[in-house]
Amino acid sequence: MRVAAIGDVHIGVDSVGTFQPGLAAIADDADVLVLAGDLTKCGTVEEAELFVDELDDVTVPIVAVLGNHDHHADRPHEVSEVLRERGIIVLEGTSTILELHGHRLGVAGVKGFGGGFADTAASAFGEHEMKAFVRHTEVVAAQLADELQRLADAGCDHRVALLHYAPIADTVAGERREIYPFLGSQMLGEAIDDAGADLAVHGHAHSGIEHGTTPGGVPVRNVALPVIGCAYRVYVLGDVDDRDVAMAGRVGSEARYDGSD
Amino acid sequence: MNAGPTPVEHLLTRISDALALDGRVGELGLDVHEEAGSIGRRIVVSGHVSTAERKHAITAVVGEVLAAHDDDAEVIDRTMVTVAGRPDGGGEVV
Repeated sequence: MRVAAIGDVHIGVDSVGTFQPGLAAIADDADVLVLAGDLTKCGTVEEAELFVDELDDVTVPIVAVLGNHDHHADRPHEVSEVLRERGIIVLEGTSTILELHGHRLGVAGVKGFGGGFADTAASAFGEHEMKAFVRHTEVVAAQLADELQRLADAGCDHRVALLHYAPIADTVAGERREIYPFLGSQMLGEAIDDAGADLAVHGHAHSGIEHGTTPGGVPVRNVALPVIGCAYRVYVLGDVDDRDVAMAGRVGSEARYDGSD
Repeated sequence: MNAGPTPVEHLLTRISDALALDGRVGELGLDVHEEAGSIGRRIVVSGHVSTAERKHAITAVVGEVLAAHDDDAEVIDRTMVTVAGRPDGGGEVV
């Protein structure tokens, strides 16, 4: 099962045609494309329409969450509708199951929110506004755990947690520590560990790093465009079949598959 | 007390806000800091932007904030444009 992932493409009126060429051959590389939010620059309907135009050549299923940029114009529902009209499955506190090559891939998606990590995490203490900030993350983290559990109960072969905000500190390393609380939350990582997943994908931290792991051992990948530096990164889940081997061996500095079973 | 020059800490915050909120750039999270130049002060912007147009707009947006505060610091743009080409690496088995 080959999952291509990308986030933070920030499409605007000045970026028409910049994303499409990189996606042209994605069907050769992956079985599904997941989008980790910040698809638009400022969250306008016009930008959402420009974004879906960039996907003209993509024939594999697409699953997305929105990011904070996609909320900036206060029209997230309309942005989501533009994506859905293109056939993109848009998740927010929800999940979907895709039947791909005889396997069931479950994707649970939330945008997520901030709060910070470990010793620098915010607490729901004091002013109403501070409580509201933390409790919003508590709510979306609970939704993520519930949806991942629902996918487990449904017997999915593979489960992916799709977020915009980071669930761990590892993959935001490189950002200024002062802004960690605005880049993600430990609560999201705890939700992933509680319910389990084969892979967690996020964006948002442009100066972070690609690879990390939750405290419970779930691989986490930061696929923000500035981090991965290309139109998508492909992750191979589960048993490695001939098609996956071909992809994993196509080049390989990133491929950890060594040719043995 | 008379109002003097805007303290640099406040100025940097206003520049960061402008880079996020001005539609010509619209990039949140760019690094903005002050350096001493060979002649005067420099305001340096670094990080990643998605298009060349946004990169080109950075100097103008920062310059407008500085002008509004009667600040003659030089603007240095060290941002990079990220191109979204097809990956040249293989997939990673996780």
